[in-house]
Amino acid sequence: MADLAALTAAIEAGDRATAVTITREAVEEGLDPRTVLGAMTAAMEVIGAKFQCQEIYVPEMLISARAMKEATAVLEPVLVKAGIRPEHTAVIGTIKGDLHDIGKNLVGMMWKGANIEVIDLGTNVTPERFVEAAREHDAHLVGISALLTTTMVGMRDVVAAIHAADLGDVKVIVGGAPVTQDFADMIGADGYASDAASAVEAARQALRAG
Amino acid sequence: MTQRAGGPFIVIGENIHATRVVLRGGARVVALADGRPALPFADEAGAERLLPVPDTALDGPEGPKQRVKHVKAAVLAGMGDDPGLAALGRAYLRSMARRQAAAGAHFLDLNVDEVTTDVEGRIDAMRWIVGAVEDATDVALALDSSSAAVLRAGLAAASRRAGAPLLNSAALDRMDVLDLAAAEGCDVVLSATGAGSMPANADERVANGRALVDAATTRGLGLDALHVDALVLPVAVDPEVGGFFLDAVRGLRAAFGAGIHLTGGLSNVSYGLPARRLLNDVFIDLAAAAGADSGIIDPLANDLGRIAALDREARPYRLASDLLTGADPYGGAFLVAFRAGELA
Repeated sequence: MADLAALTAAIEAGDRATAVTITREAVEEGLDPRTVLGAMTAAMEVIGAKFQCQEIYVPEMLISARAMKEATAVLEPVLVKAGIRPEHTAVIGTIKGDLHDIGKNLVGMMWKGANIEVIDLGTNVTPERFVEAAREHDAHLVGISALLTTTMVGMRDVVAAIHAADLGDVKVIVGGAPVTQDFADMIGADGYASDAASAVEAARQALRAG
Repeated sequence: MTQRAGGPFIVIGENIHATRVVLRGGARVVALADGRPALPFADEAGAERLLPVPDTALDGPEGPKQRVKHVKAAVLAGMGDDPGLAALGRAYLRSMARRQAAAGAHFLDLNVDEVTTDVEGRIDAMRWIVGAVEDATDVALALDSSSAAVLRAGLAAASRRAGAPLLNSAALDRMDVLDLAAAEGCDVVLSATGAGSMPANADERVANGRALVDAATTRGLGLDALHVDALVLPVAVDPEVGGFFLDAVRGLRAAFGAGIHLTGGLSNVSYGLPARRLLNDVFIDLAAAAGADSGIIDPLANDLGRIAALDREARPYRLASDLLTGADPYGGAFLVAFRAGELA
């Protein structure tokens, strides 16, 4: 019997080999892929909480996310076959004029860890490209990152463009070193995340707000 | 690694930067009678003073982990309408300037980009802070902004009593800063961030640096006016970036010889990791050994005398060095030692 508690523990510890082995066992035994996926996202919840109270550090969050990614790849064909898709899709990118991608990548990983499908548009992303990708992927969430104060102001244009486009209910979450809750409120963003771990909670809150 | 830095190491003191935070529950913040946070400091006469923190300089939910943007708090107070608060804000920043100068800073970096979101506000803030701190010490200023208009405003406000300010920075997509440096006789930091993408390795850092040095010398700037910043990124996120920086420093030193300054935002390397003072100390030592003669660092936290005396064979040094050069990717060994209390 595949030990799903051990799968959760392996992802928390960033132990890729064990995480992949247990996932493979679970797949061979025909376990409900949703249950297996749940064991993985549970690990990432713990990781996010530990990161927020500084019990663990950025590299540890990264290796856990990587373990989850490899284990998810094993599970992916079963999920596809069963027609199970992540409930939410996000497009994410760094604002036009800004080449920094560290924060954006960490947020993308934590969102994937929370079973949100993430479409990464990279850096230097124009408002038009955000809108186009949100439409193409039928996204529920748009995540915008900025590290420079000179580029941060461009977030206002993205928020306006997303909200003006006929996209249904799309929530915009902003973050990055110079960004604050006040600024997020001022430009009409639906959420603000001060770090990668809180980005998951910010996404959930914005989605709940409907 | 066989040698320490040969000549003097130029310290660009990085502390007066509007993003700098202290934790509300930490030793640098006290509570006023009404519970609001305040920042204790010693004024010019040595008297203990308290700078109340405005709400706009607080970030995150209230509690001991709430972030207090202390430099931003001082700038907002200093530029505000209340004369008492304005004097305190100004005195707080002058105290920061004196402490960095006493700790050996050769330049005082001033970055107020994050005080406000509009360019006009930043221009006002740069103009104000130059006037507020320039005569607090005998140390030259480094004007730091991603906007040439802000640098220009700071330059216009500077009396240059300790020499022309260093401009931080020009880059391939900010070439107008080179024109400003040439016209005003300033030294300038050349940032190796690319025009359309971040450099992916040491060679691209060197190539970006070369292109900027060529553009600077074409404008009549001498090599000794140039501080090439080969771009330091966090090893927590990519284990190779420490080595990329150090290799780029070696490459640039080989290409341009002793006449040029090689620098970097060296404390970026330890973002997302514990024991940052140790990591930064060791990275400064590694950078100097690779040929850097300048660093944008915190002179209070990373004392050059202590760094020169580091025992390179000691276990904490080796663990830090392995993490910083990619030999201990993602810091497995380093974090185990940290938790076991072996890095103290």
